[in-house]
Amino acid sequence: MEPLVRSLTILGSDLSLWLLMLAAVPLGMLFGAIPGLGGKLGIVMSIPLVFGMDAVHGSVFLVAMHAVVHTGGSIPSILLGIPGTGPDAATVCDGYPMAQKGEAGRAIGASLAASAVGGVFGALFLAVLIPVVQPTVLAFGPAEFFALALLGITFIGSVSGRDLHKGLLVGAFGLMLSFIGSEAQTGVQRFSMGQPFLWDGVEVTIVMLAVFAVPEALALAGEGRVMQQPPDAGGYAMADLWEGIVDVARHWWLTLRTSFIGAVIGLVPGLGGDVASWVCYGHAVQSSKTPERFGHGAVEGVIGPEAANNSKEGGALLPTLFFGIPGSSGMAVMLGAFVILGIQPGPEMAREHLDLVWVLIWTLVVSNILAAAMFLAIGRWVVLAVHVRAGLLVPFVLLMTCTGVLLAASHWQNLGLLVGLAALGFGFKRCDWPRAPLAIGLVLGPVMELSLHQSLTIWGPGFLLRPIAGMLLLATLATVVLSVRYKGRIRATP
Amino acid sequence: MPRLDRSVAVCLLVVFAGMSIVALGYQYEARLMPLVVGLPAIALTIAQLVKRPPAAPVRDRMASRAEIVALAWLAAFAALVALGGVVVGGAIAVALTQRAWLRESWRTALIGGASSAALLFFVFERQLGIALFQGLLMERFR
Repeated sequence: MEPLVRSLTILGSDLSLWLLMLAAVPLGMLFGAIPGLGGKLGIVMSIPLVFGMDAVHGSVFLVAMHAVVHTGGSIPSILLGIPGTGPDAATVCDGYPMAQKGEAGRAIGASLAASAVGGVFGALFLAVLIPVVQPTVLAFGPAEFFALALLGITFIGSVSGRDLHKGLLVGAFGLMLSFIGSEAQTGVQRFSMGQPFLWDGVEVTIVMLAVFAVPEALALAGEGRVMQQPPDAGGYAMADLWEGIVDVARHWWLTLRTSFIGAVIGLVPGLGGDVASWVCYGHAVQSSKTPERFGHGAVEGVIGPEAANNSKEGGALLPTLFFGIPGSSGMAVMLGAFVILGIQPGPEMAREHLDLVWVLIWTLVVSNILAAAMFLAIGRWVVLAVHVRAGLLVPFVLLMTCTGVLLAASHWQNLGLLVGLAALGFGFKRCDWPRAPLAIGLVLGPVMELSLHQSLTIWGPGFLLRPIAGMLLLATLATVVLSVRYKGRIRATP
Repeated sequence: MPRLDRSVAVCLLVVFAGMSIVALGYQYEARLMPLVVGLPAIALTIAQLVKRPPAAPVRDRMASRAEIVALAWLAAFAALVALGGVVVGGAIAVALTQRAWLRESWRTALIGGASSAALLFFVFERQLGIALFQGLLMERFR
C-alpha cells in the first residue's frame, strides 16, 4: 500500500506531471493520427524532449504519449479507411463503412469511449497483477534472468517477423552492438577501434532513432505523401460523437471482455497490438447474434479492437517493467527510452521503484481519460493533421533525429554512426527484417552479460539446469520449434 | 527484393565475423559473451544466405534509385548539421531538403528552415537550457 500512497502523493504534489500529460496526450494522438508515424516513432522522436527530465517526469511523458497513440490512430481508419497505425487496421473493417453511411461521428465517439475504457482497464489489470508478479520477480536470480533474456529475444525474434532466422539475427546484432565499449568486469575497451566516441558504448538513443525513426521518415518521403485527398466522410456533429459514446455503454459487456482479452495479449511478450485488435474483432463478430452486419458498419466492430488496442498497453507494461522483456515492439522502444532515463527495468523495479510503477499506472488511467476528453475539444485539428504533407514532416523528423543524437552523445561522429545504422535499418524495413529484436538485444545485452558472469561464478556451467532457468530454457527451445513448424506451414500454404 | 535482402545478411555476417575475430584477442571475461552470441550468429547468417531467397516481388528500378537518393539526402542532412550545428546547419538542411529533394516551394522551404531554427533555439536553448551542438565550423573559427 505504501508505494500506492507515495505515487498519489507524487502526482498530487507535482503540477508539472499533469502539465506533461496534457502536452503528451495531444502529441500521442497526432502521432497515431498521421498514417505512417505511430507510437514507436512517437517515442523515439520524443526522446530529445525528455533529456534533462528525471525518471518520473520523462517516463510519465512517454507513457502518456504512447498510451493514446491508438486513440488517435482510429481517426484515419474511420474517416479515410487507412489505419493510422498497424493495430488500427481492424477498426477500418467497420469504422470506414460507418463513415461512408454518414455515421463517422458515431464511429469516432465509440472508438474514443472504447479506447478510454480499454486503457483504464489495462491500467487496473496491471495494478491487480503487481502483488502476484512481485514475489516471482524477487525470486529470480542471475541464472533465471539470463534464461529469461534469452527467451525474450527468441520470442520477439520469432513473433515479430515472418522469418525466425531474421528475427534472431537482428536480436544477435543488437546484442553485439551492446558489447561495444568498456566491459564492466575487466574494464577492457571492446570493439571501439580507438575511437573516443565509442568508449562509452553505442547509445541506445542513436540506435533507436537510426533504426526506427529514420527509415519511417525516408519511406514517407519516398511515398511523397502522408494523406492528401480530402476526407469525403469527415463531417460529424457533437451529437453523433455522443451517440457513439452511448453505444459503448450499451455494449458494456463486449467492451469489458475485449479489454480483458487485449490486456492478456499485451502480457505475452511479442504479440503486440495487431494480434490484440484482430483477435478482439474476431471475438466481437463471433459473439454477436447478427454477425452478418460486420464489415458493413457494425459499431461493435469498432468497439472490440479499439478497447483491446488501449488495454494491451497496461498488460504490456508488466513484463517490460518487471522482467525487462517488452510486451510489444512499441514497448521494446519504450524499454530503451526507460534505460535512457536511468530506469533499469527488472527486479529493481519491484524492490525499489514500485512507486514509479504506480505513477505509470495512474498515468495510463489519466491519459486515456484525457485523450477522450481532449478529442472533444481539439478533434477537428487532429483530423486536419491526417493531411500533413510528407514534404513538411520529413525534414523536421530528420532534424529532431540529429538533435536527439547530439543530445544523447556529444561527439559529432555519432551522426556518421546514425547514417550507417539508418541505412541498415532502412534495409531491414525494406526486406521485412523485424527491427524490434534489435532494440531488445541492445537493452538486454548488458543484463545478459552480467547475469552470465554471475551465474558462472556462483553455479558454474550447470546454471541453466536450475529449475526455473531450465524451464525458461525449455520454453526458449519450444518457441524456436513451434515458430519453425508454424512458419513452415504458412509457407507451405499456397 | 532478394539482392537487398542478401546485402543486409552479408552486412550482418561481416559484423558478426569481424567482432568475433576481434573478440578472440580479449581476455576470457571480455570475449565470452561476444563469442557466445557471435559464433551462432555467424552460422545462422550463413544459413540465411544459403537458403533459397523468396520470389522477388516486381519492383521498378526507379524505386530503388529513390531509396538511394533518400539515403544520400540523409547523409547530406547529417553532414550539414555536423558542419553548421543543430540550429544553423539544421535550418539550412531543412530548407534544402524541402526545396531540392521534396520539391516544396521556396517559400515553404524558407519558412520551414526558419521555424525549425526558432523552435530549436527557443525550446531547447532558452526553455530547457540545453546547449545544442554549434557545429564543426563554428568550433574551428572560435
